[in-house]
Amino acid sequence: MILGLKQCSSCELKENLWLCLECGNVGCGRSQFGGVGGNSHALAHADSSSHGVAVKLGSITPEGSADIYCYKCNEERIDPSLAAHLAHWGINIAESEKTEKSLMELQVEQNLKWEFSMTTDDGSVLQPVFGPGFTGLKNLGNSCYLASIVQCLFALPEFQQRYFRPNEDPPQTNNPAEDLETQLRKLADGLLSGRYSKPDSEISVQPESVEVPHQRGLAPAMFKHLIGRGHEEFSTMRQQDAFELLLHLFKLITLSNRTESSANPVDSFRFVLEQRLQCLDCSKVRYRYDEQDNISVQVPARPLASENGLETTARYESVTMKECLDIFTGDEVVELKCPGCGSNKGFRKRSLFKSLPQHLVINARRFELINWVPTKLNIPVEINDDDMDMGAYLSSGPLPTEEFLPEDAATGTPAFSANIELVQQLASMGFSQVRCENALYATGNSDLESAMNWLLAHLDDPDIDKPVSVNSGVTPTEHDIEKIQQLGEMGIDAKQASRALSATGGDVNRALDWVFSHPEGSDDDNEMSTAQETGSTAQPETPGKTDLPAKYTLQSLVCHKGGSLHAG
Amino acid sequence: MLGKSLQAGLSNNGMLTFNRHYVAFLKRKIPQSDEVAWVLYNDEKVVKADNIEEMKQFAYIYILSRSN
Repeated sequence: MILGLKQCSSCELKENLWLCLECGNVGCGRSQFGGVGGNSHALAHADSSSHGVAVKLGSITPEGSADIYCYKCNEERIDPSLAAHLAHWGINIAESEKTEKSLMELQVEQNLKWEFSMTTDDGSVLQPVFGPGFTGLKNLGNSCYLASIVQCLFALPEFQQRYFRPNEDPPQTNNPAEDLETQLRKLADGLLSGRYSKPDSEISVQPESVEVPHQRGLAPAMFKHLIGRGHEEFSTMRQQDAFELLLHLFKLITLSNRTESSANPVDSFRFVLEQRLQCLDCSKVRYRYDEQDNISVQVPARPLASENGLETTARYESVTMKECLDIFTGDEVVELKCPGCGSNKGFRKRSLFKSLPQHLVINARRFELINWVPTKLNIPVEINDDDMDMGAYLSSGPLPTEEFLPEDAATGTPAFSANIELVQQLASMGFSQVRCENALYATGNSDLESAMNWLLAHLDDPDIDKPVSVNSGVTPTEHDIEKIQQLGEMGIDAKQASRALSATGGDVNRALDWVFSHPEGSDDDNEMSTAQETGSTAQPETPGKTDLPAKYTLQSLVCHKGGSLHAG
Repeated sequence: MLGKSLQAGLSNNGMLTFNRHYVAFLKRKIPQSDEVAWVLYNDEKVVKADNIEEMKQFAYIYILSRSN
């Protein structure tokens, strides 16, 4: 190892050193909570040289993991070719020894001991609340994303009625630890019985404090293990995206309810979104209906002029939630060739609610893609506790005067047909048509963000440029019995699990998505047999309500509030 | 070259958010009173929240419930 790697090039510091992966400069990091010193020389180097990426020297492990920070996007990154990149600077990764705490470890440590501002603005202590439904969840190390979502769900009557059954025996199962129904009931009992919501005198805020101590909190370890199983991210100890977890839980809960006679509580989130396309030339229309359990609204970014030129972070004009919904349901012009008149003028696109859910989940998207990197923007959204009328966003359906566009040719073939509009949006980001279609195929053909994330994660797949092949003689491969079993425990029968795994290259999570976009019985060749197997079940009703007035009020929020740990 | 590898390493979660702590705010009826108030769920700590205006402004997920 060259000597220069042992000390900051600009000061005397020998720890918390960051190696610039672009030029090899070594500089010290920022000072961190918890006594890690630093003079920010790595940051200064990045600013003066415009070099973006640095690796923390003491964090490199022989397994190839390390703290990598991008100063341009101000976030942590992962470098799958770290060994090769480090070899260039004379570092043999196999001989590296991790000597310093990684950012994740620091984060876990900080999360565990960090007091969220438990005082009010005027300095008085926030008052703990105890009772049924006021049970805390212990942090299992970066598990606050899970706790926050679970608290929101179990505060809703649909989840309480479904899973809190104090007078019933637990469900019959050979393996309670692996049974989601059992674990959800256990969690409901823990949160809603009130038995665990008691002040714990061993947890005092300060030694001589007269304040009411907090509770110990439930540790949802089994639940976390079960829902994370087989998932490449949720099974880890890393911090996760709470919104992705919510959608993952919706999926798992819906699956586990397929074999239950009780109502699926996730139905209370479901509604139908109507998408209307109208050709700008011939004025013919096409309607498309999608069942959803959430919406993502883009919050418009309107930068405010900096007051004194000294602010490091940009500030934005605040936006009302109503405006976000207006934009979500507003007209937008999309470039598409009209299958009716052949014009290239484009279409006017509009999304409205065909029905409204009991509970509406809104994901506020405050980011912009800057150089492929989703960059977060601090845009304030205004929403108050008053009733909000959603009636205006409810569609009254096609007008009698509207003329419909012809359906696309080659209908009736079970071939995969990618959502053309999403293809276009992805293509406009620079992905090839084939890649866009592959991404949509893998992620359920309904969501831009998942498709985009899939693309970013699979750019190096060997088959990324192979066109989607649905029935081009896919040979049913022998799937891991374990994977089929795993899907089986989520309520998917072996035959469908095997089919889903074939279609998704054996990836359990993509298989799960596949099952959702391919409900049983939708396959022509299996229609008869599945109909017989499942018996004559009633047609599923269209989810959501259409009656007016449709008034909504804010029920819960999930926030990320940071003891922001400036990295690098 | 380096840039591309790094992007590819983003994992399934394009917006990995390590440097965050999540909390939930729920509108609840407070026990032994008729008061409906915002309650902060911060891991094991459950407290009555005082002023949540800033939290509302920068929340990540909003759940609205039908009130009629």
